[in-house]
Amino acid sequence: MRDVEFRYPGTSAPALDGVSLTISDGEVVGLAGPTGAGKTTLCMALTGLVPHSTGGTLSGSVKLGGRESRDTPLGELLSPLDADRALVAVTFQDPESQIVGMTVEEDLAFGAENLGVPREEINRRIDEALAFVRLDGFRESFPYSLSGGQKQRVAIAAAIVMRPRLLILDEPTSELDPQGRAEIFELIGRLAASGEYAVLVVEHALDDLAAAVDRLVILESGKVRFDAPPAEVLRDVDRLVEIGVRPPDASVIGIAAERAGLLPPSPIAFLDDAALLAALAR
Amino acid sequence: MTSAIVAENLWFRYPGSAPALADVSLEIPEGQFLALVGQNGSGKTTLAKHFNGLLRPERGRVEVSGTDIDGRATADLASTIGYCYQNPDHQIFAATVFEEIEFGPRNLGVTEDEVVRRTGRLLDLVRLRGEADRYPFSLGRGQRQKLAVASVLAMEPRIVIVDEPTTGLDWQGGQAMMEVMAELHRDGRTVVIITHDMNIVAEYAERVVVMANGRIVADGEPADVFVQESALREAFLRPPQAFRIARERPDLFASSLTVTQATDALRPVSVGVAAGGEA
Repeated sequence: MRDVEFRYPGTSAPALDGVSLTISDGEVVGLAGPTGAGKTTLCMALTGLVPHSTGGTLSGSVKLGGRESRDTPLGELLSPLDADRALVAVTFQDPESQIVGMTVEEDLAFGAENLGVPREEINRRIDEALAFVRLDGFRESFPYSLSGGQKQRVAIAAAIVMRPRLLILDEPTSELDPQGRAEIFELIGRLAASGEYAVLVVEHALDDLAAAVDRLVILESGKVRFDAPPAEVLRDVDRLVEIGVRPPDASVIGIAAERAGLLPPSPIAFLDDAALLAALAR
Repeated sequence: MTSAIVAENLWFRYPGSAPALADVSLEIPEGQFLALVGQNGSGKTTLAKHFNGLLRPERGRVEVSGTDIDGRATADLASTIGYCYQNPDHQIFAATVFEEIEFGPRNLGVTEDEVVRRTGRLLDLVRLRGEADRYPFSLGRGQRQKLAVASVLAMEPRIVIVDEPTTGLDWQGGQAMMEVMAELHRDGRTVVIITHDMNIVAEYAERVVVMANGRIVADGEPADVFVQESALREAFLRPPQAFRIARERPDLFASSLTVTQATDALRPVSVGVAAGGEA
């Protein structure tokens, strides 16, 4: 995305206001910001729904896999670049709303069938995807009977079956309890380690997100305020608080410890309690 | 001290499942700010729904403000104990924000002047004055959540139960909602919240009750419960990061529960060691 400005139909304030953002293959990017900052709009621009389905006016350039979004019809824009591999797949915050089948298997096959992937290949991918999200043995299960965390893992598995170049997880943990949340962040860690997909994770809470991503993008009022590795972004705790995203306690306390002369000044923020405690012990 | 809620030996089972409550007893003093935490399915919402008779126990009894609620209708209890659902859309039904708030007291037979006074005060409390004539479902999630709370508060219950007040809200929205809860508490009301957010527990609750598998596995002041590692592990919970840091370095952070306390604890250090290690 380069210098993207977007307005929804009938609105004067831009939902995206000069956004430039590049996501490379295999990169894991966290996206945070207060409600109304433009996170969902940005995700929709990365799937072509903005502006193709929403209408509105878009200026600047959005290129998905090299195709210019504005000049390409939606069907063509999202058609696979490589055989059998989707360009973008998205999961949403409410895991239940993503269930389309009566069994986990049907849910997982749906997207890949639409891509025209051969049946045997889909079967093989379903096995792999279920193993990857640690739901082997749930192939015949009724999706609604699963826990929230399991449903969200099914949604991610269904995305994986499409082998997307870019996987967008829009607030994957906001409806989950702490166990479900831990399951999803563990899974994001393994998605990152696999190097197979670029992943964009939208999330309110920076604690878990910061430790899981290569880069952190913070949006405020449709503008990118930060786009850097988490350890750099989390140095600026005062600005983050002003924007309305809560920095991890360890980052805040680390800065306070520097100001109190307990720690030497550092260009790097502390992402978690273990890192801060190790530095304080030195 | 008078008890707002007394639950004695409650047993409850949803059809075809293991007990959702297995011999749960809990006494909540009037004016307490209590947080109920635990996994989904641990029994916390089931327990809270027993406090106002939304669910009735198979065995055991519940007293609200000193009266056994067996046989009393939930609607009759609404002016004593207010319950806000986790999803505000389960309770919103009126055509405007104003009508949503005034419905409860009007239904209770409160005088017209009093209805208008209460509705006005609540619109200010939850900062929806400018939205009074709007259709509730045109509001954002955070505003709908606050509207749902306001419509329960309009009946002026002495006891307020809110299921996941901050879920779906961003940090600022969550803080605004918790400020409303804190205001009710300062006003002398009993406040029970159900939450997953341990930062909120640390910042607002006087007492935290941890549930797992239909039982209470820990109960006490947040600082005392946060050190009960096996109970927390059973409930898949972790104390706030600031508490974990302070616990390892009490020499620097004393007994801080929250990030604000931890950073405040560091300030005297920079003033000078000569001031004496009072911090």
